[in-house]
Amino acid sequence: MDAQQQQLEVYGFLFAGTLVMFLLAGCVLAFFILYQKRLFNQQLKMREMEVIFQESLLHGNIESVEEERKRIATDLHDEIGSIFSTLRLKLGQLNQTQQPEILNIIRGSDELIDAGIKSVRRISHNIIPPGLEMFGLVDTLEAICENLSIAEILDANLQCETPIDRFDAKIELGLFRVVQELTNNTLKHAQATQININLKQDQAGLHLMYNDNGNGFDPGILNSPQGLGLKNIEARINLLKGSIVWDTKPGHGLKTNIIIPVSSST
Amino acid sequence: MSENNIIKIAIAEDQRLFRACLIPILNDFEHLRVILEASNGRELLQKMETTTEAPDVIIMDLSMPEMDGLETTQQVKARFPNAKIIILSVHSEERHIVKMVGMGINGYLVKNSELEEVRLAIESVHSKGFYFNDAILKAIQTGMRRQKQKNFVIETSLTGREKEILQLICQELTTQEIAERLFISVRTVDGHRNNLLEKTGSRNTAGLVLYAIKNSLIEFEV
Amino acid sequence: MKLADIIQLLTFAVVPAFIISCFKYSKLSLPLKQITYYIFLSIITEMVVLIFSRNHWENLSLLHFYTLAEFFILYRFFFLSLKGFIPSRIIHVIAICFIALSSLNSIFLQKLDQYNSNARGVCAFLVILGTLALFYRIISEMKVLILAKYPIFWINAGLLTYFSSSFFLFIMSNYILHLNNTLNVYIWMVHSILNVILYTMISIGLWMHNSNN
Repeated sequence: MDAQQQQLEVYGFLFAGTLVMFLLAGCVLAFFILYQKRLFNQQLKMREMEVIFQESLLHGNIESVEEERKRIATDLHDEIGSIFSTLRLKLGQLNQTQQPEILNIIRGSDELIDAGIKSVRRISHNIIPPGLEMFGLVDTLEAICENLSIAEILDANLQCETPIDRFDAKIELGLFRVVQELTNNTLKHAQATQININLKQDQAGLHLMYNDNGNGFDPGILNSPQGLGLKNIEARINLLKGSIVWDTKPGHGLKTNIIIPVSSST
Repeated sequence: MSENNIIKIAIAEDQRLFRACLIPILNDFEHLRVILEASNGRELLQKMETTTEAPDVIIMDLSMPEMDGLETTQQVKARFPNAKIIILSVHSEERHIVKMVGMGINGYLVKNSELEEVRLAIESVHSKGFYFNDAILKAIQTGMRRQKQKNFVIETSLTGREKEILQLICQELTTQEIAERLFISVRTVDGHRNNLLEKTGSRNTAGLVLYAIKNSLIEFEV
Repeated sequence: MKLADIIQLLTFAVVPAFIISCFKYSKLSLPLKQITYYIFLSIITEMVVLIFSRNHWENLSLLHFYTLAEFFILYRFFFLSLKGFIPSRIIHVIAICFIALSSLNSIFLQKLDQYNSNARGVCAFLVILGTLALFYRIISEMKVLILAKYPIFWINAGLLTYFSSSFFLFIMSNYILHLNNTLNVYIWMVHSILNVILYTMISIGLWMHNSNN
């Protein structure tokens, strides 16, 4: 009996031990699976938050840059521009009465003042185009195309497939900056002879299609330091809650499609 | 036509310095009187609503805060159709001038104009309904040539007489002078003028000039 | 049907794993290839055991060699999987020690007519350590998206389950060898089931492999 009991103990121990180890293994696995999931989600969340943070930094940056630009342009126009204009007016009061030398001085001063006014205008115009808020995006884009075509730099065309509403100032300014950057890029790097801009508005929003027949580029540079300007464009589009698609490769020109969700402002 | 009556002027200009300088200068002229000043479009409209004397001519800047020149022009044309508008702006973009004339302004001046020209413009706009100097006309012409694709004026057939009158209007003759030239009555001239306005879809004389340029009925050699 | 027959049937559980291994062999990563070698070893060993038992030859001695082969393959697997995480030298040293000690054990301590329970026990213990280390690596590196699609997860889980559950059995295998035949059949039956679980998880793991992983 003793031996048999011992046997049973042994086998009992064996079976129990095996079962215990089996359950232990199961527990380890269970813990592992749960823990891994939690850690992974945590990491995902952190990465998300970082992206959002970077994005908001960038957006804040863009907005503050634009605010500053507006301030500078406005101050230029209001303060310096107005002083020049007023000077002109005041000087004009002198015109009739004087002797020739003084008349000469007056004329000379007039010319200087005119130059000053022109200069302020040009600088202010380069910072923010004056007609953008008043006459709208389409008008300003037309002006860009006209200026390029007239200067015979290249052939630029704007086409509106559908009537285009006026939008919120931020959207119009943002899109203007994007087109400004795109045209600058085309002029600087693409050696193109033609630019086409196409606008269309439907329920999806405002569609802007920009293409040039220049050198194109490798879309891969978006992820390299050289693609910073392009990333800026994407950031601006992102700020407007829109989307942009690059369709280009070296030797095949550039085509981009931008969609901005809009509801017209008026 | 001599100005027996005083021309009543309103000024909408956000640059305070400029405004403060311009008003006494204008008031110096005997036949001009500034009755109203505002620093932006909204203020202008408010004051025009409440004033007792309506201004004949409004001198307005394009870029003003709160309500810019474009919107203000639209509002003024709607609520005070008799007032004449002269835009006085630093900018002289061709396309914008063309657009503003299309909106119904009567004259366009750049801010560094001579004082004499400002006076002339006010008088012209008051008596003949438009004033554009040579440079502005050239700009309009160039601007319209480029916009040939967008015809916002329907091609119409004008009678020979109407074309004649249009020519004379563009040559800045007053109604009286036109009547004398063509040996017809002033009323007839006015009648033709109204027909012209209707047929060409113009809001005022300035629009007629625009139409004439666009359809190459007249060429301004500059 | 006798239990012994059931056990014999259960050995066929290795076949699905074998088929999948053959299919996917060329595309597999190096660590996973070791697992296919493990499967090949298993199937060959089963066949040899079958031949021996049909001929009523003593097949216990095979186990000593099998232990060495099995350990070597798993050592390669863990070495490749833990490369960069644990200094390779440690793994090599442990492997050499085990092989040496296991051989000595087979020659001097538990000769070829006995179970080499010492060696099997230590082997199981080392494998358990390996699986735990590998799990730790997976968690700390956090590169894995969906565990269920990660082949190494299945294989590691299978190895852990099998070797930890069989640990006590291996240790006491010698002691119970001549103790009670009926109960022995039961306990080895449990072992067969654990084996089936192992092969199933290996099959799933290898199946989950595609070139993206």
